[in-house]
Amino acid sequence: MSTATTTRPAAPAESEVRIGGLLAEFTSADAVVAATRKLRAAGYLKLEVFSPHPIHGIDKVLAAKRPLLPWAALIGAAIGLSGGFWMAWWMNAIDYPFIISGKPMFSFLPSLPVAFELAILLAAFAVFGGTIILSGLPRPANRLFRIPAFARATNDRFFIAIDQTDSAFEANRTRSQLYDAGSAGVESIPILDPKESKLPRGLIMTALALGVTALIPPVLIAKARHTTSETPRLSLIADMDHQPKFKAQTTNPLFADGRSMRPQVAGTIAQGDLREDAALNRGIRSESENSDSAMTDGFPGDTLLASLESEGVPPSIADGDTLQTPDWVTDFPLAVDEKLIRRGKQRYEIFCATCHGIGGDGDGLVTLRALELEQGTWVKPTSLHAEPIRNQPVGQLYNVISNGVRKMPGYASQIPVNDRWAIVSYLKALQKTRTATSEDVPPDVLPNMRELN
Amino acid sequence: MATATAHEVDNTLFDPAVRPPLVTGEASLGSITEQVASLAERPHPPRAWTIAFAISSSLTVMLFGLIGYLIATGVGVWGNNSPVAWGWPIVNFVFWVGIGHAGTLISAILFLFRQDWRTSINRFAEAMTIFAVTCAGIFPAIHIGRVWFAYWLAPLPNSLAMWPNFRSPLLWDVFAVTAYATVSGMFWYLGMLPDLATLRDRASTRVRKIAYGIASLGWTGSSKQWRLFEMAYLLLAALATPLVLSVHTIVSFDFAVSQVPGWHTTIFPPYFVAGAVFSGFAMVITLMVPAREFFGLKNLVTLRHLENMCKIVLATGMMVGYAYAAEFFIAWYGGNQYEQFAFVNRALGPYAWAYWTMVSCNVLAPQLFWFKAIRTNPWAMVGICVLVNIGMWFERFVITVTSLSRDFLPSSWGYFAPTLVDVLMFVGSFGLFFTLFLLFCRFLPMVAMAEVKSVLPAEEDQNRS
Repeated sequence: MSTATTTRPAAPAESEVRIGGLLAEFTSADAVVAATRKLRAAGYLKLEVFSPHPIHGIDKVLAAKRPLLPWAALIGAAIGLSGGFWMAWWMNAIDYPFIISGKPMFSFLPSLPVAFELAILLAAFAVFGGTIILSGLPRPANRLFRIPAFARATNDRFFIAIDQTDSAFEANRTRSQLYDAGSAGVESIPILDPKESKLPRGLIMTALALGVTALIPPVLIAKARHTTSETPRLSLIADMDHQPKFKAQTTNPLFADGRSMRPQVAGTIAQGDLREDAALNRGIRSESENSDSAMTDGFPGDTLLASLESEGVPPSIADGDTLQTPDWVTDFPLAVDEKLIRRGKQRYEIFCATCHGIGGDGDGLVTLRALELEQGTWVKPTSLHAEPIRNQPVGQLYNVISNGVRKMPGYASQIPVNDRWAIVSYLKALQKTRTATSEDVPPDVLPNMRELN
Repeated sequence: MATATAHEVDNTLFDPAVRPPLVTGEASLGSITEQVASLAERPHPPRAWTIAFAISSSLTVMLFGLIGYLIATGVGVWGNNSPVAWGWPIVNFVFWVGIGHAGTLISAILFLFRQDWRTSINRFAEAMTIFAVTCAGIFPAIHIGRVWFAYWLAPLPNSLAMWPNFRSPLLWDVFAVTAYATVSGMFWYLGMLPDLATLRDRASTRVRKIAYGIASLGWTGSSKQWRLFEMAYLLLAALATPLVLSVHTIVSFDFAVSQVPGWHTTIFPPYFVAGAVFSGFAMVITLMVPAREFFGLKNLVTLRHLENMCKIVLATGMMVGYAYAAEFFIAWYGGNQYEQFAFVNRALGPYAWAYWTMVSCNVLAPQLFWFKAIRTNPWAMVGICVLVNIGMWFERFVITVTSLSRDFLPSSWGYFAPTLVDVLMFVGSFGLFFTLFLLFCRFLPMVAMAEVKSVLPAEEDQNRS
């Protein structure tokens, strides 16, 4: 009965048989609204209107309450927002403190994007879930689907269903009232046999089997994570895990000595390591050296130790009274001019002054701070104006800058050779400022001394 | 398809006294159901669909093959290398995410502004959004290199006892794109429930009955369900509106929060959002014009719909053009020499060809929409919109590659060159996009039937009374 009939059929003979209710078909939205109004006036409360599109105004006729969905959205948003901030705070400031550029562990703005997105996401979940649940969905079996005409409810027809439990319901009277309200056809709603509305047994068993099967992988993963195994772990991408190369500190069967790290071949110097001029590079007189290492940048201690071992003197780092003192150069191995000294001053103030102080008195800011902290591990730098330092040959000063002394680290990796010499030249000038007398000043400059300040 | 598709009706004339119809021809509730639902019910697809599907699904297979190759070999198969560590994959990601903005914009923002003309195109645009976001999501996921650790992106308890950094825009991005894809999906599905029920009730085969029966969850269209549906739709629209604006804002943070010259600018969020809307609408027009032609939807998707979209493309195109100009102004006005160099280098450096392609496609081409003759000529629109999409891809290329290839250290400067894998993956992503889209056209209601029914002239009068 897909087309509505205009003639009113006689009441069915089996009207005594219990029915679930009545379903009346209408051809337009106006008609269904008018009929609903009439039926509500006639005292029907359990009626439901079906339409292919939302009919505005029907809610007023049905006296329906506003759904509570906005509250669901609000709760979802509140959980999302607070959850987002909580994650950012607990995960990055408490459980795994993330130190980034010394910024505060937790701050509001950078946590906002995640909290905002979560607020929207959870509010949307609440709205979506709330709509589905409050609509009574999913509901695959519905007694109305047994009425063929009802298929047009999602197409172009409008329906009113009245449930038989409605207090005003009386099959024959209701039927005629529906026709009077302008219905194009009224049908009985069948009562579903409870057995009929059950899911087929095969479907249940399949779903059960699938559900149990789906549990197997997580169980296996859980087992793998909480037990030990003697088999090596799986390499999904073998050539990323096992790359064909020899790493440092490992063995290599290709070489007789079995080392993967190759020593330098005797008599060779690596590219860029050639340091022919010992006076310039090491501050030692060239003719005093006789070993291979004189040609490279090696730590002078190597040479010292080698000479100590050959002489049977116990090694000691103390400035050697008993040790053979290296033959330090006493003259600068490069031309000293005002430009070099100015360069040295600039470098000194960058690299040295932080500990030694601008004036070389051992009162740099780092030193002052270290002494203030009283940590006990800090060795105050010797004043650069002290007698022993003043008397050190320039080669030795150069060596101290390069390789350090006592707690002072070497600066060879940070300051190039010529700059180290520039610093030495400035240091000599600095020392001179404390000991020089007016006789040391050239006579033509002396009258202008005050202006030179 | 006999209904009112023979000739185009011009409903673009605007007379304030008369509301132009949103649906042309003699439409009734039944004719709309018939017209839209029968498209998804044909036993055999048209030949053009079959050919298009064969091509796009082959490209999809190629894409997944290349992804397998990438995973097994490593990201070295791409052209990404120092200093351009963000090459095509990120360009493609931003390109696709941008396209994915029009759908939610049409659905949510135009809904909130009560622009009823959106009803004919929103389903279409939302589908496009979801497929574009799917394509977008692939690139950052495989860009991480070791994809089997992709779950490290999420704040999950793990054996390293580590958590992701909540101050990183890349983490914000994970949340934003995931939330956007999920909310768009829910919005799309909820809006489609009544139409899926229509297909269920019309289904003639058992398979279709069961499939649409499950998908429609037993929707009946009762006044209670409609009441909830309408409120949920309004709420989701209200939630999706700030979301859609936030997503591309956060994508732009990926760039703007760094300190690379040309990226570190405050204009990025609005500029990216405008660009996203711009490219998204261009893509909707590119797809919509052929679809209404082939599927006979000219009475539902009328010239007025297309014209309105052209106006949005024109407006957002000029916003993008303004942003290009503003960037140069700020680079000069800000007095930062690195920033100045970055922009001079964009326009005149080794990538000048890309920059000027971008400017001509994005700023100059849409200016043609000032002319009504072009705004109402569907195929001219498609031509311009294809140009816009090319231009928008180049915009992301210019932003990503010019800045990275010329950063602070001249010693690390380089010239980026994509590999064949880069190119084929991008082509493959179009294959995936069109595959999903063709499946959508074949099996799902392309037009929101229930919504269009409520804006039919007769029903509209009833609804307004």
